[in-house]
Amino acid sequence: MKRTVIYTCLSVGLLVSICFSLALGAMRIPIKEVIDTLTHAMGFSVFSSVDHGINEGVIMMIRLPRTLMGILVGAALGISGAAIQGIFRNPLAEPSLVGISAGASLMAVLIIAFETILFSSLSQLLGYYLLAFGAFAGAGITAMLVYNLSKINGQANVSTMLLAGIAINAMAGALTGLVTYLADEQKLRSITFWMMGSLGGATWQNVSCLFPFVLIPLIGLPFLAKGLNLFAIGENQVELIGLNPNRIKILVVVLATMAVGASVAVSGIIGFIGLLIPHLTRLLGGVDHRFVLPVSALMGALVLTLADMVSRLIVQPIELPIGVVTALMGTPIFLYILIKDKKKLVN
Amino acid sequence: MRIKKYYIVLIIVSFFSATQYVAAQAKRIITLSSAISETVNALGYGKNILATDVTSVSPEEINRLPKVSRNRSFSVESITAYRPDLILVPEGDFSKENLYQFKSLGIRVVTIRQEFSVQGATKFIRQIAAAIGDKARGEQLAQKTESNINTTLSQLKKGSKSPKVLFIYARGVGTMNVAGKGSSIDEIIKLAGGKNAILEFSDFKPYTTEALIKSNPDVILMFDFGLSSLGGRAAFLDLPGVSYTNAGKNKKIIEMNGPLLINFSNRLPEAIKALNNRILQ
Repeated sequence: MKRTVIYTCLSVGLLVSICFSLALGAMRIPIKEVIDTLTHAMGFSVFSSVDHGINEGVIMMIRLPRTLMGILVGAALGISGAAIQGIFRNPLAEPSLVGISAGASLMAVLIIAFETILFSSLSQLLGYYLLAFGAFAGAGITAMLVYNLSKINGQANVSTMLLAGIAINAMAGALTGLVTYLADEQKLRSITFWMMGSLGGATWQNVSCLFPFVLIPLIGLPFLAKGLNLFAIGENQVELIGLNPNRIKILVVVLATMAVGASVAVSGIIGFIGLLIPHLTRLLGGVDHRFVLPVSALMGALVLTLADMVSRLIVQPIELPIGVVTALMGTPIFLYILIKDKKKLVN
Repeated sequence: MRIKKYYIVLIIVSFFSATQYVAAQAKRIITLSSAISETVNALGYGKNILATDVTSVSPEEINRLPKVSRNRSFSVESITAYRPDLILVPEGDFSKENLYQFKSLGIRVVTIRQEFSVQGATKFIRQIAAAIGDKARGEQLAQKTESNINTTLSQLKKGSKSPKVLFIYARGVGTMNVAGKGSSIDEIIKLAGGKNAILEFSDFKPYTTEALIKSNPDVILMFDFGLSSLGGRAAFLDLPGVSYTNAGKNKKIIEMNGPLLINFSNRLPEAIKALNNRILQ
């Protein structure tokens, strides 16, 4: 019952924030025109089908892809955060902590900096998708590296995995810094974009490129919820019930890498969503992963859509980097949870 | 007879292209760098500029315009809100995605690559004029600028030897960069009869005290906001190492208007003259 309420509230909240996200922006577009443009695009028209010219363009070409990208990236970060916290049995684990985000952004930075020298043939082959594939590959390589480093007698050890993640993060950070130092001014700007995150570059092209990479984990990860629940009790419990714990680990890492790598590729690093959303979800409705995974996706989408609205509207006519907004919104809530649950965490 | 026919066709064609020419003239322009804003204004189209970037501060009527881009951070939608028919932007400031977004909105974006040289300045003016759709005025301004440059260059003060100039771009003591070879500053120093103190690297690189002492400049050049960000002239002379250089000993620290120095367009003659006056004082 309580969960039905949560699902309903979040879905309604997401729908409302999508409407606001489409209706608000630097361009003042009457709400009637927004509705008309959208219904017209869906094949029918509520009001007269007048040609709105540039207003229609702004809604269809700028706001709609941007809102969709916010939903996809938010859902991807939320669900991967929850799944990774699940297998690591550590509430601090999140894609950026185990090095997945750092690997993705390092690869992206390398491609930006050396595209003309090293990747020109690849660039011709993959064109627009080069960065996305690069970020995905970077995320995958680091995830595998961290996973292998943490194996002790064929078993992935969680604390070693976290430490390996920290080491990889530091390494990737240093290499990114080195590349930044060598890069010229123009490349530096693209690199800064990656480090700060933004949904400002959303086009139909990159949203459709992102879509399958997020959809597969969104469908796949909830199937692993039962296994993740047993992980919470202990790895041997998974084996007792006849499931292969290593297979679950690998599946989670692959799916989460897929979602996070592709998200980082299109929007840069957006922190705190992966860490915070699962916490909020558990605060609302308990620790059952069958609940936590889908709700984290839903809530991630909602929060990122809201954060993007703040980043667009608060310092008009320019924009705040969305990473700044999520960190500013996220840290106080995180500290609140920390202080509130401090005793529980120790015991 | 045949020639006459061709002649008529030619007249008709040129008539049509002329009308198109007028129709294509940009009326609502957004300019996203100080050099572009100044050039559009000098071409007589200042009143057609709707908004600029944060570096466009001169002349006063341009400075009063809304600033839609701050350090290349901007939103496509806020620029679109002005309903421009032309956006003039330095090459590389818009990402591929941004260019695609404006294209799908039907807004013309012309990216302009600025070359830091005398030829580059006239080319820049012609390019901007062509984008606006007034090549004639562009030609006029380019030729005027070129002859002004030639006059200025022939009247430059000359010292016994050209002074070594070190340019420091400062945004507070922690963030100081020096200009290397091939930068805009390198070129203006050379045009003004000086010599860049840094020959080891290109573009801008972080400042170090040892590099300062090693290069031993005769003159240290800074943007006006740069010197004030370090706490003014006296505070700068107290920085470690400065007193070991010729510039420090002779207190030859000069500050100049940033947008003027890196304009490399219609104000290039003015910039050469001003810098020459200061370094060969």
